[in-house]
Amino acid sequence: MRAPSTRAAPLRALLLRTRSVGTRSVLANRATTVSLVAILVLLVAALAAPVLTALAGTSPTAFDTGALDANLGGLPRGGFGGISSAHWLGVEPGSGRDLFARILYGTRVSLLIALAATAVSVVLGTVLGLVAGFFGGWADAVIGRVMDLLMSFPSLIFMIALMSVAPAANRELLLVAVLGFFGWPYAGRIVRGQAMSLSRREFVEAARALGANRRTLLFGEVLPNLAGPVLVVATLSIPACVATEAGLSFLGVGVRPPTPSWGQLIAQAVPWYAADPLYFLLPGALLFGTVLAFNVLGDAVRDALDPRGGGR
Amino acid sequence: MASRTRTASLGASLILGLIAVAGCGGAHGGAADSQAAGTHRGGTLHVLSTIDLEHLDPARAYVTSTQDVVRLVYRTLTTYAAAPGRAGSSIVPDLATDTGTPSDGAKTWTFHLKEGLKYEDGRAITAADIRYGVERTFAPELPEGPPYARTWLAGGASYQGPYKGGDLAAIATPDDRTIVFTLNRPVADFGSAAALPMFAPVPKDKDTGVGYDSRPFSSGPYKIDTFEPKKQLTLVRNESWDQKTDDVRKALPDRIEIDLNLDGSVVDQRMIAAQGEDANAVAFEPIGPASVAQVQTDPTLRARLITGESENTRFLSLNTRRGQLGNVKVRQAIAYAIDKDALRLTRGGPIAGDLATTILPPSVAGHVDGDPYPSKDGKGDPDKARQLLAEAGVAGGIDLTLDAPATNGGKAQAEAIQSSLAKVGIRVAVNEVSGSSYWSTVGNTAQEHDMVIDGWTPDWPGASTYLPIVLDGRAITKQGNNNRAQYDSSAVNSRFDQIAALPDANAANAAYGQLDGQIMADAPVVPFLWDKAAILVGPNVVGAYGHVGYVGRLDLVSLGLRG
Repeated sequence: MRAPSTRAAPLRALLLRTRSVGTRSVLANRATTVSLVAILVLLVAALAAPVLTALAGTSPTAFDTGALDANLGGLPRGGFGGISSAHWLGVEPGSGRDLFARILYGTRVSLLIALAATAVSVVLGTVLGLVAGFFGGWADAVIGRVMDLLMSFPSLIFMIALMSVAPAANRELLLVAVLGFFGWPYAGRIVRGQAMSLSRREFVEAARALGANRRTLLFGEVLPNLAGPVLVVATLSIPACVATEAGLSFLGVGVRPPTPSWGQLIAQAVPWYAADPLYFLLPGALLFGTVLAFNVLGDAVRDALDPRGGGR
Repeated sequence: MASRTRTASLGASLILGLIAVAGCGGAHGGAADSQAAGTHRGGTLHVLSTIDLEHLDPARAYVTSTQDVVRLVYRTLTTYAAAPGRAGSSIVPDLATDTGTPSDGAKTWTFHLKEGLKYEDGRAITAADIRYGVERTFAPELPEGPPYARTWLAGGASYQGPYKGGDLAAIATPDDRTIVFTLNRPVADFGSAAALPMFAPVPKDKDTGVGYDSRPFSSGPYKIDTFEPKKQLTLVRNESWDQKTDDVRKALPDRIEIDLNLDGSVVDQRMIAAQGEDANAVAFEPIGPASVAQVQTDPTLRARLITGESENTRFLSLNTRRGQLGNVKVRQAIAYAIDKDALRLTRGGPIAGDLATTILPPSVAGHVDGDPYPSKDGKGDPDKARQLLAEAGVAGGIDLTLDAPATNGGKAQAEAIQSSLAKVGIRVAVNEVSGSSYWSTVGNTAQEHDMVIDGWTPDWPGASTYLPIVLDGRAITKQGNNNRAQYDSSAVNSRFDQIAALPDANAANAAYGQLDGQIMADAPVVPFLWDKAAILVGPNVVGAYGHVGYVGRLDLVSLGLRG
C-alpha cells in the first residue's frame, strides 16, 4: 500500500503554512512589509541600473572635474556633496564621478555577489548537510569535522590572504567562491540536524518500511521538509554576505576599480567624512538599510515557518 | 637600490593611501611672515609622522624622509643648505671646510675637516671615522644604502666592507683632518654625493654592525634618547656639539619627539585643532586631499600651512617592450590623451603640485621649459590622440594593463588614467599591487605590465641621478629595475656616456636638459605632476619651510618654538 499522502504532506503543510499563516504573519508586521518593499525596490533598481543612469544622463566611470573645486582639494562644488540636476546624489570628491550611478552599479555588484555566494553556500550546505544527517556514520564524521574546521577557521584573514595572492583572478567570481565556501557550514549544520531528526520521524520510517529506496527517502521525504529552514538560512545569509563583501572591499581586496561596490565606496569616503559627509552617509546608509531589511525579513520568515515560534 | 629615495616620496605616500602628497599652488612663502627664523632656544618639538623611519644607520638611511630626520643626529662631509625654495638645493660644507676639491680630472676628491668637531661623548671626529663610515656601506649585511660608493670608488667592485675586507685603498686619510677619495671615473658632482648619510662619521668601537641601526652615535646637535621603531624616536640635546662648527643646524628645541606610524586623518585633525602640546607640533607628511578644503577656507589654518617644492616628478611609464607600446605613435597618443589635471585632482588639486610637461622638474638644475604634448589646461587632447592612433593603424583601440598600488590614492590615479584613455579607445585594465610590494613588483621585468604609475626623486639636486637611472637602456635589470619604460635607445645611451664624461657639472646639467627634450619626443614616459608638499605646523612653531631636498617636507634642523 503506497501512501502518497505521507510523502506530500510535509511539503503541502509547509506551502499551506506559508500561504495562510505564514503569508499573513509575514505581511502583518509593518517592519517586515517595509523591508520586503525596500528589498524589491533595491532589486529593481539594481536590475534597471543602466536604464536609470541613462535617464539621469550619467555613467559610473565618467569623470566630471568641472563639478569639483580644484582649489579645495577636489571637493564637490555647491553644498550637499554637489547635488544638482546633473548629479542627483552629488559626485565623488577627487574625480567628479556621479554618485547616483556609482551607488546603483555598486548595488548591482554587491547584491549579485551576495546572492550568488548565498546560492553557493546554501546548495553546498544543503547537499552536504543532508548527506551527513541522513546517512550518519563516517559521512557524518567527515563532513562534521570539515564543518567544524571551516567554522573555527579565521575566515576573514584567510579571505584577505587569498584575495591578495590571486590578484589577477576575476574578483567577482573569487568573492562568490570564497564567501560561498566559508558560508556553507552554517547552512550545513542546520540542515544536518534537521535531516537527522527527520530521518527518524514516523513518515520516513513508514516510507522505509514500505520499501522506498534511499533516493526516494532523501529527495521525496526529507528534502521537502528542509525547505523551511533552508529558506531561513538563505535569507539570513544574504545580509551576512553583503556585509562581508563590503568589508573585504573596504579592506581593499574586493572588486577591482573602476567597478564600484558599497564597501569600496565607503572605504573611499572615510577620509572625507568631515569635508563631504554625504559621500560617506549615502553608501553607508544603503548598506545599513539593506542588511537590516534582509535581517528583518529573515526573522519574519523564520517566525512564520518555525512551528515552535507560534507567531508573535 | 637607488629607488629608495623615490620610495620615500612616492612609495610612502602611495602606501598611505589618501594621505597623498599635496602641495600648495600659488601660496609660496605664504606663511613666510609668521615663520621668520626663530632664535629662542628650548622647549619640546613634536613631529607627527604617518610613516615609519626605516633605517637610522648612516649606511642604510636612503629614504628621503629619514635623511631629513638623521640630519639632526649626524653630520656629513657636505649637506644641503638650510634654506627655503631652490636655495635649499645648493650644497654647502658640513664637517668639511668646503664642498671638496677635485683633481686629476675630477677622479680624485679631497676634503678637509673643520677643527673642533666632536661626538656626543666629547671625543674628536677624525677622517678615519668617515672613511670607516663609507667602508661600512660595502658590507653585505648593510645593503640598503646608495650604490654610488660601490660604483665609483676604485676597487669598490670586489670590496666586502670593513668587517671582512680590511680597509679600502681608494680612501686615504693622510692625517686626522684630511680624507682623499680615488674614483674609477670622473664624477663632477661628488661633492653633492658627499651630502648622503653614508658620508657621516662612524666610530669603529661604537659600531655594532646591524645593531647600529637602533642607535647611531651622534655627531650632530641631538643624540638619540629612545627609539622604538614604528612608535617613537626621542632626541635630546648633544651637549658636545658646538654651534660654531655648524652653519646649517640651528638646534633650537631642547628635545624633539617624533611619533611614528600615526593615521593620516588623525594627524590632520590634530594639527588643525592644535590643542595643548600639539601647538608645538609639526606634521611630517603633507595634508590629505580631504583636509584641503578645511585648511584653505580658514585663514588662520592657511597661515599655518607651509608649502615646499620638491624634486619629484610623477609620471606614467609606458613599457616600450610590450605590444603596441613599441610604436612611438601609440605612446605619443597616450601622452596627448592623459588628463593631467584629473590626475592631479585625485591628489588634492593644485595644492599637490604643478602639471608636469618635462621629465626633469623645474627645481632640478638643467630643467628646460617645454611641452611637447600640449593641451588646454592639461586636460588632454583626445582628438590629437585619436589621430595618432589612426596613423599607427590601431584606430579600433587597444587593450593595456596598468600597474597601480592597491591604495585609495593609487586606485584613484589608475581610474583617472583609465577614464582619459577610454576617450580615445584605449581600454585599460588595472592590476592592483599591494602597496608594500609595489616597487619590487614593477621593478621585476617579468611581472611588469604595459603601464606603471611611476615617479622619481634624484639623490641630490642634479640631473645625473635622474635621467641615466630612469632611462638608460643598459641599466635595465631583471629585478630592482628603475627603467620601467624599458626604454633602450642607442642614441640616448651614448649621449649619457658623453655627458657623464663632462668634467663640469653645469655643462652636464645643461646637456641633460636638452636630452630630456629628446627623450620626451620618444614618449617612453608621460610626466604628469611636479610634486609640492603642503604641511601644517603648530601655531607655536617658527622657522618652518619646505625643503626641496627632502621632497618639500619641513627642514627639521631649522625649526624652533616661540618662547
